[in-house]
Amino acid sequence: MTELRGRTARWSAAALAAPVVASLFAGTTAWAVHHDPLHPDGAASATAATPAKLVAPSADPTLVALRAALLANAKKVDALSKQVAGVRAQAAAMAKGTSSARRSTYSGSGSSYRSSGSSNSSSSSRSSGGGNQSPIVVTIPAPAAPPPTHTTTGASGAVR
Amino acid sequence: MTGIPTTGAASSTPVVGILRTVTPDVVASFRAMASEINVRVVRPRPGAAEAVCLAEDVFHRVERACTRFDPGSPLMRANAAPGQWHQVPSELYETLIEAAAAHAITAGVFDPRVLRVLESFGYDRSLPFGDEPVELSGALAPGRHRRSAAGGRAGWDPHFDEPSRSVWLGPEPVDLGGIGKGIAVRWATEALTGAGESTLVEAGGDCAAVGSGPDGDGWKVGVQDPREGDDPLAVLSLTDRACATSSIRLRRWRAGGRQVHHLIDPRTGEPGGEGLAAVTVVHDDPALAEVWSKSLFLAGLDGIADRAAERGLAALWVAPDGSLDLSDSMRSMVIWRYDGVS
Repeated sequence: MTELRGRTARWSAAALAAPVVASLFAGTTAWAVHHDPLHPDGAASATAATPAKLVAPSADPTLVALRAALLANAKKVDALSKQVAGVRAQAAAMAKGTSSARRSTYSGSGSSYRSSGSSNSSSSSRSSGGGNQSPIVVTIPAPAAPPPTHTTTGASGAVR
Repeated sequence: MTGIPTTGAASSTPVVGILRTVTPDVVASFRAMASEINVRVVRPRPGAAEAVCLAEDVFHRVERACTRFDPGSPLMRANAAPGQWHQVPSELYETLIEAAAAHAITAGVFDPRVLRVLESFGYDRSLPFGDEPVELSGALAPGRHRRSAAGGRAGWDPHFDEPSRSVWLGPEPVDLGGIGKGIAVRWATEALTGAGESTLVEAGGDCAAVGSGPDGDGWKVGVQDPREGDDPLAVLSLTDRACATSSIRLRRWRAGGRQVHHLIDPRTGEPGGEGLAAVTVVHDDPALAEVWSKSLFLAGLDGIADRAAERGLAALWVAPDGSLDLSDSMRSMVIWRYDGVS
């Protein structure tokens, strides 16, 4: 009888313990699946949104170099654009000055303007690290020639 | 006779293909109205050469009737006694009617009665105008006529009698030079109707471009630089349109020690158009293009933009320094313009 009672008690204890152990196992497993061991402070959702292979930008020396080069080139382009605008304005003033100069200047396919590099573009060049102080040649496109005409309207009595 | 139409001098753009043949254009050049006249018929049809002859004849007939440089012309006979009735040829009769209409629609800015002012400046005969100003030594008559022109006189009111084709000019003689040429271009263009796919009549600054031109994309008309040279300041593309330019590049001269030109403002009796060197107007009708180019010129640089916009005119104007501006209606017709840089 004693043996029978003891066997029954063990089975009852096992029946009680099994669900507890099972739920404990399931809980720890779920926690382990969703928990990032690199961030034990609990920022699991934020980390999950960022691919693990990315690191902080400042930490990648290649990227740092690329960003620096990009910035320098942007400054260079900006300076050159300003210089081109200045040259265009200068050319416009020259063209406006004499109509006779107009024909000789634009009879060819184009004309060139050589800059001494004394404008603010030179400082930009220096800051970009290029160190290239050689003159910059800007080609001004000649105005498009007038299309061929069939006749002319002008002063009456004009002899052509 | 220089005006005999010829073929082949200005053939159309070569046609690609073997099924079409290239028909040479019919062209003619001759002098009339102190100008070189050019007529061109693109892809002519049978009878084109005869039509060109008729077009040339129009210019000679209008010139004979309306010239002020021939004392025996019908116009000058009427001018000799403007206060009397005169029976006149149909060319002069029609031109006077058009001039009276132009005087009305321009609110008197177009006024053929400037003849005496022009004569007072010495422009009483055909002068050898060129790129260099003409010097008239000792010219410049007293300004009686100029004061009269500026004196707020009444509008021009000629009378017409249709059955007898007679006119009464009023107390003053008239000059029909500009509008006469515009009307001749109109009638010559009408004479060319059906002569070919496209036609062009060009007469010393006035032109009428019918059809889409030799290349099918419009007649290209260069706008002369009123200062000098042969390079155009702009190029227009015209289809079924006329254009005229009033410019002081040629018809200017020195009289009494000062420089004057032929575009007289009837409100002042003096050369007008302050701040302008040339005005080009595109219009459906060559005579009205001529009338409006002159009237807009007399508005001067300060007034021309408003005047052109008010009338919805396609106009382009050039200042003495060569700067160019245009009305909104003109923009679609300008395919190229010189802007000094690009």
